[in-house]
Amino acid sequence: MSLAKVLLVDDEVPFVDTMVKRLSKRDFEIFTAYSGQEALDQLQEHPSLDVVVLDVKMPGMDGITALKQIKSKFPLVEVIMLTAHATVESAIDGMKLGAFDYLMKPAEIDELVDKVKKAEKIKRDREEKIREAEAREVFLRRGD
Amino acid sequence: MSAHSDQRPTGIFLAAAGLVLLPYLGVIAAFWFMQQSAAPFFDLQDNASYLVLLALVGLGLAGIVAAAFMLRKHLNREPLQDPLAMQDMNEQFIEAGKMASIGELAAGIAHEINNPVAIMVEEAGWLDDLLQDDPEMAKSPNFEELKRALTQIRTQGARCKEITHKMLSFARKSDLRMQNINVNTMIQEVAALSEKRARYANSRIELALAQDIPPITASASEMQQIFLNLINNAVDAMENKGGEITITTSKSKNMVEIQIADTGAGIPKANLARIFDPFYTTKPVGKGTGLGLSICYTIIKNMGGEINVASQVDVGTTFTIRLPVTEAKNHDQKVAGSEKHSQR
Ligand SMILES: Nc1ncnc2c1ncn2[C@@H]1O[C@H](COP(=O)(O)OP(=O)(O)OP(=O)(O)O)[C@@H](O)[C@H]1O
Ligand SMILES: [Mg+2]
Ligand SMILES: [Mg+2]
Repeated sequence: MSLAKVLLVDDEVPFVDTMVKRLSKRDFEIFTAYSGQEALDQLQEHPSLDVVVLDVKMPGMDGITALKQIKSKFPLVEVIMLTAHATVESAIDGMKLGAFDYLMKPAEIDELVDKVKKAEKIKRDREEKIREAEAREVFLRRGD
Repeated sequence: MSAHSDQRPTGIFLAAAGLVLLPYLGVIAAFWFMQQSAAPFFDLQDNASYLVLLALVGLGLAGIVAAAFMLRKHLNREPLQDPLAMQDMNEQFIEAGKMASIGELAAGIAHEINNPVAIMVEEAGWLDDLLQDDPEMAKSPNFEELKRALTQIRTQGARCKEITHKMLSFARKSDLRMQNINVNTMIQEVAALSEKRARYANSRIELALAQDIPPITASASEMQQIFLNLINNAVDAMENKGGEITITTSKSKNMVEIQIADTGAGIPKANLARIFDPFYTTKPVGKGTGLGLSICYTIIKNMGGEINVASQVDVGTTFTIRLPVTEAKNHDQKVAGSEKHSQR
């Protein structure tokens, strides 16, 4: 079974291109976006996306703004912030806004893979709970 | 001072208006002269018209020179009367620029460096992936060398990340809480921390702390950073032949003075002006970033203090720091670390 569906968002095109190859090789299904707006469009178009790996500093809509919108429009999607900004602050801001975790560039691929897998698991668990809750409600309603 | 500030704008305005208008006046006058003159304008045989034209041009030039002079004088008025005040202003101006640039530079450079480095590291990682995948490759006699080279690229990328971290640990605003600090206690703590490193380099740290040092208002972590940077520099300077670091504290007027003197290599006169510049270093790659002193300088200036250096090649270097004493009304606040011994 293919692992998580991951959306990579970064304005550094060669970075995205190489990460696509490396992550695909590790059995993830990768989608890409080069700006915050493109990321939102991709999420709209592919509702089955599990995890977003989001650059913090991008021209136009930056990562933090994109994160807010992702979390309000697609609350189940998990977001990992990936920043070149060596300051933890922006990354921590991101976590306060609901990001799952953060990584500093340059990051070790194994670390990224590990975080993506964890994020995906959290998303799956939550979806499972929602399904259970829905089933219970249906059951209760029938029981009336 | 406020008296001329009021006059200045009018003076400058008049001078500027004169400067702009005079050439026009000159041209208008020349045209007027042409109209009046019956002779053709360029008939320079006509001595009278030649002279009048020359006089007009001369007058115009004189007017321009006078206006320019007035403008200059008005613009420079305050420094002419109070050169010291102007000097201060210039200095503050430069400092403000310098400080903004270190913080911004740090954040900007972190971003600008880490992004390309991340790309390089990922490309190397991708090569590594391919190498791993290809059974033919594993048979190549160069396989081990290729693997080693790729690992090296990754290690060096991590090193870049560390440097930017170091820069930003200073630019970060988190632990900048100001508190009352006992300088002597802090120096004792930092000296204890550095002792081992100094001993390795064959040098000793001597403390000569005055008894009556009043507290200063500062961020404890920033103060530690200053002393660590200066002691590390001193140890580095004595690396070859060993020597002695002497840290002295004293009080002068409403300032606390701290001197850190070493008997190391010294700084050639030509380098003295540059040592506080960010990224200026004479140390080998991987050893110094050249940020230590620029960080010290910025912290100290932000506190309203000053840092000076005196050095002689092959004799040693002394850094002198002066920091303003906490104002009396704050004295009874908690003094960081003073519960222990405050003097040795
Ligand atoms: N005590 C000293 N004796 C001799 N030279 C010194 C001393 N302190 C500083 N310098 C000179 O000033 C340069 C700049 O010092 P600074 O502390 O800013 O950077 P660094 O020590 O080279 O790097 P870093 O502080 O990042 O390790 C040093 O490289 C050295 O040439
Ligand atoms: Mg970016
Ligand atoms: Mg240094």
